[in-house]
Amino acid sequence: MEEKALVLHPEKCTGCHACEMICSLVHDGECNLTLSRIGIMKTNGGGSNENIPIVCQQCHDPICADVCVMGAISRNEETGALVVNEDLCVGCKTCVIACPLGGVLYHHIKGCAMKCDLCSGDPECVKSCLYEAIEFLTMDEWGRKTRLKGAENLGRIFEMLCK
Amino acid sequence: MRAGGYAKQVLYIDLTKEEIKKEPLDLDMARKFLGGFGLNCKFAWDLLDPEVDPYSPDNMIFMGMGPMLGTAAPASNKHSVMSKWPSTGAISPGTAGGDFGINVKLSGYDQVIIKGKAKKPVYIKINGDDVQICDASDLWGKDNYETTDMLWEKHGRHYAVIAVGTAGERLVNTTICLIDKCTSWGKGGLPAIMGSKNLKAFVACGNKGVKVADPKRLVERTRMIQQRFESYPDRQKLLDLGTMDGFVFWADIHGMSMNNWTSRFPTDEAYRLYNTDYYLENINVGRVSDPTCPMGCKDHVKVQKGEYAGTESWVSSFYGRVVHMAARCQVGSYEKNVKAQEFFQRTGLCIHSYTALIDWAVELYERGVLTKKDTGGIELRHDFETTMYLAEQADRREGLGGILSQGYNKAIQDIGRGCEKYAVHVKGMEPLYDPRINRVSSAEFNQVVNPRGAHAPQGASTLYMSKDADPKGYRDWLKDRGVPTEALNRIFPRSGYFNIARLCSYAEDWVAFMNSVGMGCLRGRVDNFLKGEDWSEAYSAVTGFETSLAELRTAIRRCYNLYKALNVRAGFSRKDDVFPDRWFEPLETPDRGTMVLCDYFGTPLSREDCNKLLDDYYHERGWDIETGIPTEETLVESDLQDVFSDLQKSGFIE
Repeated sequence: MEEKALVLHPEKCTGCHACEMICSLVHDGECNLTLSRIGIMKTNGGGSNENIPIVCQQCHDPICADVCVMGAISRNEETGALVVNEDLCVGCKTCVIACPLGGVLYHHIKGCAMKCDLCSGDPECVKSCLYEAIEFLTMDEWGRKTRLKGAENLGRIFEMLCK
Repeated sequence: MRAGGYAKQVLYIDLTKEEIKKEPLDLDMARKFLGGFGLNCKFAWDLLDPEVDPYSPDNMIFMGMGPMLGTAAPASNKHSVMSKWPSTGAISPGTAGGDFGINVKLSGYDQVIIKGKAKKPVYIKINGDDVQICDASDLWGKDNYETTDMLWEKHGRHYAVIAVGTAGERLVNTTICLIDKCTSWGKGGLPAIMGSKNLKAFVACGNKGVKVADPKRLVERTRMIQQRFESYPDRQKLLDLGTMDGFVFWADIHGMSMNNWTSRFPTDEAYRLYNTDYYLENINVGRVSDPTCPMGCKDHVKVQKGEYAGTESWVSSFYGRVVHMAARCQVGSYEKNVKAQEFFQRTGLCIHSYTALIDWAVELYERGVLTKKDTGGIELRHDFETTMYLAEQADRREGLGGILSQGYNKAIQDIGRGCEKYAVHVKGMEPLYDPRINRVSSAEFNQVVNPRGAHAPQGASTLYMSKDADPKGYRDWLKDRGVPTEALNRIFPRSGYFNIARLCSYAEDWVAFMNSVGMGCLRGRVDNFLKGEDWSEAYSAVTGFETSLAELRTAIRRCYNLYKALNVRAGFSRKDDVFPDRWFEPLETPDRGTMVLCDYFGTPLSREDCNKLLDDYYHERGWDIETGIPTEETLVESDLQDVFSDLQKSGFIE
């Protein structure tokens, strides 16, 4: 399937935790910020210019899978998500250490690696974020949106130059 | 099916004995009193001496998290505190959103109960099973922002912090606590109560999770509610403006009285100083949301230019704060308004309460009741300089500002000289809404009967009833919220009319209910998108106790009766539910002519009419019309036989 990723917009995140609550609820049957696969890192008063959402970016060349000696992390070809095989995982946490994005965590109840599995291709966090701070996009869509944002910025710069 | 929602544990902290105890929550009792506000009432009834001095170590702080709090349900974030407030002597609640409640719940506690007094400054740390009373000597003397920053520095930003500002340390009771620098909690003097206990702050971070009995059912209901918010056509405008979307209502449609309830803030002045375009361009820099709230409306504001450039604040209900600084203190520019707010936030002064006292003091000065001898040689005016002068005095609890900072009840005694004639308050707390401008709708009427005092935002109503709206909408709202037909017939006895007093009791119930289960927001901007059945569905899905809306409504009526009984025992009765004199004087406005006290339909109301409305209110609640005290029949019907026996034994009921 075509590569897709969770695209985060920190400037829109109001720090409401809705993504974290729904994530832990659908995966673990309880609401628990520490069991959420997505996490909101707040700074200062926690306004929409002060929060940073963190989630696995489903790397093209995944370091977490490379460092896993048990071969417990593999790509689900249907959804494109890198998923943890909890039967194989021994809870050594090497993947947690290796991921530079903070995308893999340790499940403190199950004792194994924990990461975003894209909810079988229909991520719940995207649906629960009413501030549109999380989108689920193909690389083409993301590319277009990125260019659009660049064009808007350039437009603004031209406008300023013309003044 | 497993029982969820409740963490099933109560945390007791005795600061005198330095003792921390954890006891199981009685689930039968929890179902009877729901949680949050309701369970706080129950614990306060059982444990708190009604005659206790609010500053005594024996006064207690009850914090209730509610079963819905900390779940994925939309707006499941309201936690409630109860204590005996020093400003009024009422035993009453305060509520907040913010991250503190969810982290206490996620630590495994439904209720936190604090008593005693620490020997030296302390703060309480809650991190799951690890609960500690920690040394706060380095925090004492620091303002709200400094305290919060130091605690984040020490424990990490993932901890939620409740801090007491410098004013609270000096037992100033027109104060509020701040959660994470932003969300206010405990108007009426929670910081002063904490200050009297040498308790500077709380920090909380939880990792236990809130169990949900039926996750699938909760996810379905959550999605359904979220979709209603998403499909609202004006959604983006509400998100952009936050609470400032109410600007037009304040500036134009309704309005705010000024000059101590003798005039109305002029519409053109409101547009000139505080219009929303200016706000978006020069003031607002970010939006802050309470947990799982789909309509995050709190503000991160920062002054962009001029003398106060860089002044920064995080504020809940920013609109309300702007309006109070604007109309009551007449501070002038938007920049000065934010600068003054920042000072109040840092020190913990309550913008709602203390601006009213400043407004009153200026009139007392103009009338010669207060002179330069009282003010320390300065002239009191409605301006930025006077506001900051009196606020700085209040923070230090010195001079006239220090006297005012103790609230109306105490300040009236301290000033004397007939000053009470110009004091507009109910039970020692200032009203917010002027019923001559807005007419007597639910929020206005509640200011008179609320056991807490004239505090409109909490315990009031999600029905911000615009005087031009079709009353049919209110009937639909009440019906949807499960109000029985016979009650609807009493509220709407004939077409084209409704009885606001009878209606108000159900509006109060609804807010009390939300504050008990820990879900929802009293603002219409959230409540408008919810239906009655959402609550029974979500409550049943989370807790696993299949409960109908009617059963929930019965439970909350019980909680409210107990709330009233708590305050009957503390000495309150009908004699304290008094419409302020000034509301019966005509309001002369510069641009709207003369306004007088009217009902919703514009019919003028005399004091006699208002007393009749009080009769109707007590009758609807099942309280004695002469005394305003719940009757035997009402208490027994609410399964509060023990409360009746107690009130009878103490001579409050014959």
